[in-house]
Amino acid sequence: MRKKKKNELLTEVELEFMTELWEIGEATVRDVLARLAPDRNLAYTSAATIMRILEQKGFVTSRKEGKTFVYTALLAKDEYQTRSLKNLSAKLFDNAPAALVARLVDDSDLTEEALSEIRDLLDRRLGG
Amino acid sequence: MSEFGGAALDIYINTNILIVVAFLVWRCIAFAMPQVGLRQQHTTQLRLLNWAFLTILICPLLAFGFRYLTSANGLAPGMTISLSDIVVAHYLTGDFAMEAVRLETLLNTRQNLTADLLDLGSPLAKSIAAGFLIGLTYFVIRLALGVLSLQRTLSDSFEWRRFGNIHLRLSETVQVPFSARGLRRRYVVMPSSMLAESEDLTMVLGHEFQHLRQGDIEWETFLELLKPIFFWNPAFHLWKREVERLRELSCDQQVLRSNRFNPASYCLCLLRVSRNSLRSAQARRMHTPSVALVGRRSRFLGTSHLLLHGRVTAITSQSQPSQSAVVFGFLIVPLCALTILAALAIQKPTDWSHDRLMLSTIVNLERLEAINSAGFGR
Repeated sequence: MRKKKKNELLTEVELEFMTELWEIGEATVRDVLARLAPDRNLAYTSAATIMRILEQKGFVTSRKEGKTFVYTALLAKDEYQTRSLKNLSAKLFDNAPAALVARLVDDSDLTEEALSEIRDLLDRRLGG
Repeated sequence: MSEFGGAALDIYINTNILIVVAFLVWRCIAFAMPQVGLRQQHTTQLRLLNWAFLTILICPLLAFGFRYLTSANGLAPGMTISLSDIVVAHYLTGDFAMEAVRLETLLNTRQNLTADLLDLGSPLAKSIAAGFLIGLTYFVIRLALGVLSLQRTLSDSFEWRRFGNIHLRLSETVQVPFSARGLRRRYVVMPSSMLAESEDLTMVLGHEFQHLRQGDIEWETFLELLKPIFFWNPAFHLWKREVERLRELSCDQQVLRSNRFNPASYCLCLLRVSRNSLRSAQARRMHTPSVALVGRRSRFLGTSHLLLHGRVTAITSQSQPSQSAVVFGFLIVPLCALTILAALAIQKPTDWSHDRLMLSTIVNLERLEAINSAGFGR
C-alpha cells in the first residue's frame, strides 16, 4: 500500500485500536480484535484495514511473521497525549495552554484529590 | 464568424426552450404516473429523464436533418411544422384578430433579439451578455474549485480495495459516503469511521455500487459540466434536482429489492449518515461532481431533509413494481416525440412561405394606408 501523508490525529476507532496496542505492546489484528468488547462486532477485514491505515499514518509499524502481520506502536501513548492536547489547545484555546488548564480546574467534577495531584505535578515541574 | 455565431446562439436558445418544454411534458407524465398505479417506477422515471435529456441534445442534429429533407431538393418539399408559419396560417384564415404589423413584430422578436445580442447593439443586449459572462465565470470557477476539492479529498484518502477501475477509498475528512469518477477511474469514498459499523458499511456499499451500475456518476458529472452553460435556466436546475431525487429513490429500491437488507435498518442507516453529515462542513463545502449517499441541495431548491423524508416514505411503502420495460417503452415515445416536435416547431423558417408573403403584403398595405391617411390629414 502506498505511503500517505501522515495525519496527526487518530479517529475514534483508531484510538480504540491504539489503546489496545499501547496496552499489549505488540499484537496481530486478531489479538486486538480479541481485546475489544464482545458486542463490538467488527469484521476481521475492517480491523485489518484500520491497522493498515494506522501504519500509513505512521502510528504503527509491522513485521511479517509467517502469514500474519505483527504490529508495534511507533508513537508512545504519552507522546500522543501531548500531541492531542497541543491540538486541542491550538484549536479550542487559541494556543493558550493556561486557558485549557483553567477550564479543567473550573470543572466542578474535579475532586480535591485530583486538584492535589495537579498541584503536586506543578510543584514538580516548576520546582525541577 | 457572424453566421456561425448566429447559428450557435440559435442552437443555444432552442436547447434552453426545449429543456423547459421537455420538463413541462415530464411533469405531466410524472403527475399522471401515480394516478395509474406507477408511483413506484423510480428507475423507469430516471431512465425517462436521462433519455429525454439526450433527445434534447441531439435535437439540433434532427432539426438540421429535417431542414435538409424539406429543402427544395429534399424528400418532403414544402412540408413545414414551424410554429410561426402555423400562427401566420391561422391569422390569415381569420382565427384570431390582430394588427398585421404587430403580429409581424411579434414573430420577428426572437430574430431581432438574436441579432441584437450578436451585435451588442443595445444596452439590453450588453446587460444580458455581461450577466451571462459573469454567471458563466462564477459557475466555471465553482466547478473548478469543486473538482480541486474532490481531488484533494481523494488524495488525502486511503486506498482500501480495488475492483477493476473501481477504487474504494477511506477518508477521515468526509462524513457522507459518495461516488465520483475521474477520466478513467471510478471512486467510492467512505468515511473511515464507518469501518466500525459493519452493517452500515455493507448497506452503503450496496447503495454506492448501484449508483455505479446505473451510470449515475456519469450523468451527475455530465450535468455538472453543463451547469455553467445553463445556469440561468430554472428548468435545468429543476431537471437536475429531479434526477438527483429519482436516482436516490431508484438506488434505494434496487438495493432493497435484493432482499439482503431490512428496510427499517436501511432507513436508520440513512438517518445516521445524515446526522453525521450535519456535524461536518462537508455538505456545505463540496459542490463537487459526485453522488453522495444523502443529498446536499441548493439553498434555492429546498433542503436535503425533504429528499430524505421522501426516501424514507418511499422505502417504507415499497411494492412490487410492474413491468418497467413496457412502461418505459410506452412513456418514452410521447416524451421524446413531443420534445422533437417542439424542436422542429421552434426552428427559424428558412424560406418565405406563401403565407408569410401574404402577411408581408398586408403589413405593407397597412403601412401604405397609414402614410396615405397621414398625407390626407394634412
